[in-house]
Amino acid sequence: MSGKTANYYELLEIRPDASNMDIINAYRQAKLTFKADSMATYSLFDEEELRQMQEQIEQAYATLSNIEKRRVYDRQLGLSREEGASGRETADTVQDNVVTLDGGAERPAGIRYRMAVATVFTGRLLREVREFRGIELAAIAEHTKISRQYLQAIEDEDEKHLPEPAYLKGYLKQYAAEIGLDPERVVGRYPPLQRGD
Amino acid sequence: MHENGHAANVVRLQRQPESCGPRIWAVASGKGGVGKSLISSSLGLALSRQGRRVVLVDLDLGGANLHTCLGMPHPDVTLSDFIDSRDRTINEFVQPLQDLPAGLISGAADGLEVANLKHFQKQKIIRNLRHIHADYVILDLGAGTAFNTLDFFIAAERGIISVVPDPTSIENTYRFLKCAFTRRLREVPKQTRKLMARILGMRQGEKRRIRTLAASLNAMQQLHPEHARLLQGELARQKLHLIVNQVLEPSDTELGPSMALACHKYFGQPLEYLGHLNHDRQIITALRGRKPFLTTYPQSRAAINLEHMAAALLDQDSRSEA
Ligand SMILES: Nc1ncnc2c1ncn2[C@@H]1O[C@H](COP(=O)(O)OP(=O)(O)OP(=O)(O)O)[C@@H](O)[C@H]1O
Ligand SMILES: [Mg+2]
Repeated sequence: MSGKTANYYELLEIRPDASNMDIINAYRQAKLTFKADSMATYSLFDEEELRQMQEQIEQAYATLSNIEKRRVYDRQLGLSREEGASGRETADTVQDNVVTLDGGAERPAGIRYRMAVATVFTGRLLREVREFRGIELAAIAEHTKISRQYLQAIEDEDEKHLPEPAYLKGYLKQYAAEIGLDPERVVGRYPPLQRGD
Repeated sequence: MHENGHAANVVRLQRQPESCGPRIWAVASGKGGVGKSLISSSLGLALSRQGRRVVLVDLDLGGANLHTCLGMPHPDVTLSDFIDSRDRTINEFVQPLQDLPAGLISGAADGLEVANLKHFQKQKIIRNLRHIHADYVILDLGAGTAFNTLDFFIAAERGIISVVPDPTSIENTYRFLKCAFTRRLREVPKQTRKLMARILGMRQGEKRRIRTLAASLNAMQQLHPEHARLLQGELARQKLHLIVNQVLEPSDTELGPSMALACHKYFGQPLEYLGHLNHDRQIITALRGRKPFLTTYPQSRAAINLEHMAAALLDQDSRSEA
């Protein structure tokens, strides 16, 4: 590049003090926009450019969605503690004491806490997290190109309709990223994947 | 009156202090039939319902039909008469609308075609837009990338682009934007233009050339920051907005934000998504009844969205004044 490359915040078009929800939303928007057969980029970017863009978006998200990685990255960028990661939570690690701050009364009690400490990610918990974040299953199907039936089967733990474990792992990771959970954590704690082996 | 200019370049309307003329918005599209006339007439009516004095100018020369969208009879004075006149001001060619502080300067005249418009005629029109007695002047442009159309477009302080959710419309939107930006770059000093041309041929990384406006501005910033500032200043003179029209599927509403993001990455300039309009049969019904849609079906979803869009833009204007 002849110019300076955009940092992860610039890439996702968010501010350095963006909240986790801002990051998830920006990530979803960017992912949807620059997916391979996106209508919005038609005739503007070629395949290779889209591929590069997707790679950068994934990198940015992998760092910014992880509290430790984000902290290190912010330090590299020279962001001060105030603007930087201090005091923020990543999507899936939230202290119990902030739960009441923005968890509305109509939301399931303690969902943030439960997702933070979960040792098992049941399909039911995954669905709760998704609904808590206001994300439609159809939107995930559209972004990831995973069929709705598979996504539904993941949330239902419907083993008759789940794909082979190798595929399931891949799908589950993408699904987890879409709802702002750490993909590795979810894959390691999703019951149907544990039963198999 | 104002006929003494010999300026070779397009008159720069927005260089004038804001107080001395109307705000000018242009409605454009890459492809035809995507709702420019619906949008310009409706935004004009919405602004005038808010008490703003509005003059709509039909610059779709050769395809002028804005009077029909406004429910007005075929006009008997047009821009053609203004171009030919020696001693009458542009305000004498405004046809008032009933009940509202709004009027129309029609472009519906046989022989008045955007392709045949002479340079001095175009200059006369652009120069006089800011002498129109109004708070807002809204230009309804023809589809496509004719130089005259592009010059009308870049003369406006807001450019509103209509697109429908299909690949041909999207492709033509991007072509239109590329042409408009290229046209606008003629306004910067020659040296800056030269440097820009050189950068556009440069290699980026191992094999790819710098292709996007965003990447070239970025490179310019590294190599010649003072020229980059000039370019940015020129590009920032016009605010760009996008409306997605004729939406049929819920997923089409994702198109607007995505196009805005894609444009920002490609051009390095903001394109603000204003909202969408559903495909609505009442729009056609109003047209067949020779009635303006916005005031005929004010409770329809599309009319409400158009009112919101006008209000949002008004709000931006009042903020920028403050
Ligand atoms: N949202 C909509 N729902 C239904 N019909 C629409 C909608 N928007 C526009 N139309 C119809 O599509 C046709 C074209 O619209 P309009 O004339 O506003 O487009 P235009 O871009 O000005 O076209 P041109 O390029 O020919 O000037 C008209 O018949 C109009 O009534
Ligand atoms: Mg039209």
